[in-house]
Amino acid sequence: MNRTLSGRLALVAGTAAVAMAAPAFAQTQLPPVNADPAAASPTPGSPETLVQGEVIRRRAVGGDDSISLLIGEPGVAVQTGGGTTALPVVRGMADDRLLVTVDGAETTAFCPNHMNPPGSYVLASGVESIALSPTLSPVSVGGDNIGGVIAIRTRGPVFQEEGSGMVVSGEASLAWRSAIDGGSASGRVTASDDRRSIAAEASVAHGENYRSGYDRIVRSTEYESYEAAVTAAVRTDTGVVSVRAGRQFTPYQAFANQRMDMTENRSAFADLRYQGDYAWGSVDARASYRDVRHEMNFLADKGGDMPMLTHGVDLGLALAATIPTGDVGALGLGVDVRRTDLDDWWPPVPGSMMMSPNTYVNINDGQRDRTGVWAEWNGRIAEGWSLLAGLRLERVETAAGDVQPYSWTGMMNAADAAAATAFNARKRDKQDDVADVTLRAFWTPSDTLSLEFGYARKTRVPNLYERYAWGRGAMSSAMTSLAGDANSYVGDIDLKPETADNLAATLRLVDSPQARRTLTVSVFQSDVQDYVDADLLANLAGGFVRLQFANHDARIRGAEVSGSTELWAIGGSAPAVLRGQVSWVEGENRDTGDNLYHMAPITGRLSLEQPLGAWTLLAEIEAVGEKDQVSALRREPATDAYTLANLRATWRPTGALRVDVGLENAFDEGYELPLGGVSYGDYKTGGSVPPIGALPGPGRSLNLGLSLSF
Amino acid sequence: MAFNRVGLVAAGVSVALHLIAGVMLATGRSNDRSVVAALEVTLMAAPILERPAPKPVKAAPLTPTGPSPSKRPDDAPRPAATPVASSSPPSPEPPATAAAVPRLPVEAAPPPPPKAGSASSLYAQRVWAAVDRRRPRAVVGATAATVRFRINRSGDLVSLRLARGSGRPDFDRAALAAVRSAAPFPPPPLEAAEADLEFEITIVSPR
Repeated sequence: MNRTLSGRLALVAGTAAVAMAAPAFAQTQLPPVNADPAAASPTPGSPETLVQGEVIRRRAVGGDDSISLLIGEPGVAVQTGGGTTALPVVRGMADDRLLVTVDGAETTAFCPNHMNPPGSYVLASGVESIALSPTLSPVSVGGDNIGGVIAIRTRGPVFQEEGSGMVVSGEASLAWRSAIDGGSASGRVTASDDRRSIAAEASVAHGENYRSGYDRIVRSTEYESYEAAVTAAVRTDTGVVSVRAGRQFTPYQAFANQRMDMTENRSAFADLRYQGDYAWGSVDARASYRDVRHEMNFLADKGGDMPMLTHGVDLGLALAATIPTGDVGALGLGVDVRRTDLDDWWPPVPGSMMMSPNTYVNINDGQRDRTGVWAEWNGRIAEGWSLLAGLRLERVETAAGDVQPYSWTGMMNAADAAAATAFNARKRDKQDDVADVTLRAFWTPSDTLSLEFGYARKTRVPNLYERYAWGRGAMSSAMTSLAGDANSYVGDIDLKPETADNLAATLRLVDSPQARRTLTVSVFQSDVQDYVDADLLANLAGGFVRLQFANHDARIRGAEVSGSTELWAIGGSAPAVLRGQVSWVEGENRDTGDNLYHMAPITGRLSLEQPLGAWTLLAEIEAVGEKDQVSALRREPATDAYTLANLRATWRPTGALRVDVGLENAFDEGYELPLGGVSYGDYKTGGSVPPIGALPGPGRSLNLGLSLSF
Repeated sequence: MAFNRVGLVAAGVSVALHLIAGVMLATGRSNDRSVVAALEVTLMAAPILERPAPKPVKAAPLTPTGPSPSKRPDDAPRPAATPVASSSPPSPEPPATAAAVPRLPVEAAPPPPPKAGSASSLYAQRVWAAVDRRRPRAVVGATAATVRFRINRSGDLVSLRLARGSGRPDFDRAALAAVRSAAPFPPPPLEAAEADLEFEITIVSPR
């Protein structure tokens, strides 16, 4: 009995010991699952275009502007700005019609010429990936746009595998381009273990005025910019908390298609983010802050003195949760709040009759506050069918305080004095309640075919300049100009939000799940009610015009075709790939019959990529059609067709070293940029003799890139 | 006690499979594809079946609510199968998607004796298959993320956490989301022990 009892006790004790030891460890080990290496056809809610990895690295050697990294993707064009401040154009919609986020944070283009758009706060060398969701973008990725969302990501926090301790890694890269006799340098150092990560990075970009294929210098194209940022992150069992803060400083950046140049832009930002994963779902909480101090004046090519100062602050809070709904999909819910403050003022110029004695107050205490809530569901609705449906409700409030001209009494300021008096007498607070809807259906009847189609209703409330730029004088109205056409613009307080009804369909064909041959065809149409176009106020000297922002109905439509096929493989290298694409778009103001401004001409690309051991060779032909559909209202210059040949080679002897050599515009073709606007720098240095021409593009450039990592 | 029988059978099957693999390896034809396949199969089957065997006594100080065991480097000594298993995933490179299939213990292994232990191991296979169906996209720079999760008697996910990160938070989140979206799982078999309801799975980013 005793023996039995003690035996039982021993057994119990033993069991207890096992039981105590067990709970922490006694999980069932499942075999590993391999992630899907293929960039398979997009899933509902995924961006239609994702540029990352090798492609980003290669393109960053060719230019410092982050938005320009998208050049080469179907439906994408860029509107020329400064060397690091191009504006994106997607499916015919540009600038504020697209939402550009950097690591999820939204930034306002505070400058009255949009010289500091959101994409300008990260140089190309610091970009990890860019995701583009055109026209039918899910409401979860952002509101306040009608043309789509461009989400730029910088290199996020990196952790180590467990047990590897603290590891210090880093990367340095250099790029040089002969056409601008400049380039960029960037460096990044990360110290991380499996739970903590801290990274510091800095980059600089510099370029002289570039040389065009017509073998002359294009005036007002020089630039310089510096950036530095620190990222710290902690990983817990349930999520990652990260903080990123940094500064940007642009001492100068010339604008070839603007009357002004950027003579300083200083910005500081901080983002705090928590991304958590739980059994019930995931959360993404974010707070972001950016302060921008911006100054315009004239650089040497344009000459003169007229300081224009801007101070802006963006504050954003966003909270999103994703909850699985049974076995079929997921529900996303979110709220975001954004507060924007803007002041724009022009100090008097001593000795100037026109620009004294007061400070010209362009935007006084401008505010643009947005509050949005959204819900989105995506999941499978039947075999081979999935659906994405989202609704976003937003309230946007804009306001601006009283203003003043340089002089209330001076003869030269009479028009501005009258305009300021009228402006100050008006009620200027505006509130718009808008609703965005996205409905996308995906049909995948087989592994090799998918069809996606949908509808989105998107709304954008006018920006502060479109509503509150009030000056009507010859000079003051010329200072608000967002389009690179050197025309003069006057705001309209009563401007209504523009509302787009977007339709689009995309057919994707692949020959096999490995996608050795692909063909993608997209068609789209956007009917925009109250599109913010412009009406003529006056014809000005030199062929310029004074316009007032005005709502019109517009239609934009187009198509994109892209495809690829694997060809031969040499040795053990990956196969050569031939890629091609054609993008076409047209846009019309349906009230006036005029063409919309900045519609890219038909553009085609054909490239052959040949991996060869440690080398990757690429030859590309870019063919751009004649631009004859131009906006008569804005005196938009037509441009001729042209063809460019680009040659690029990458050598990666080890994982740590990368060398790029490229010859862009190899035949030194002289051409004008279809979305380059007017060549105002050349016009000014040439003595301001009309007519003003289109902006020439860069000529042949030998590009060299070197990147080292450890 | 069902627990013990499961453990015994599991350990027996595991030993048997190891023996078979060992014999095959000992014949010296390790380049032979079939041997490699058999070896892989063994490795996959083992972790599922071997649950009760592993845990060193070091585990004792860790309470269930305590800090993650994954923080401890000495947690690494897992059953012999695991280290090998974790070295096997990177190898199947060319058709990486297809590589997952032969790993399925049911399909490729000599079927374990259909006795008491197989109910929970079959269930584990179903859980594995559910996660595999939701496998995420690979992320450049990521290695492998290990996710630990627990389900209840109805098959609902009740806890989820990252046991070992891949180095890339994006991939970690995708791995967690894969498990989350695979839920609810089929209800576990009635005889499943509490420990049969907690799982650990590693999602490997190729390259």
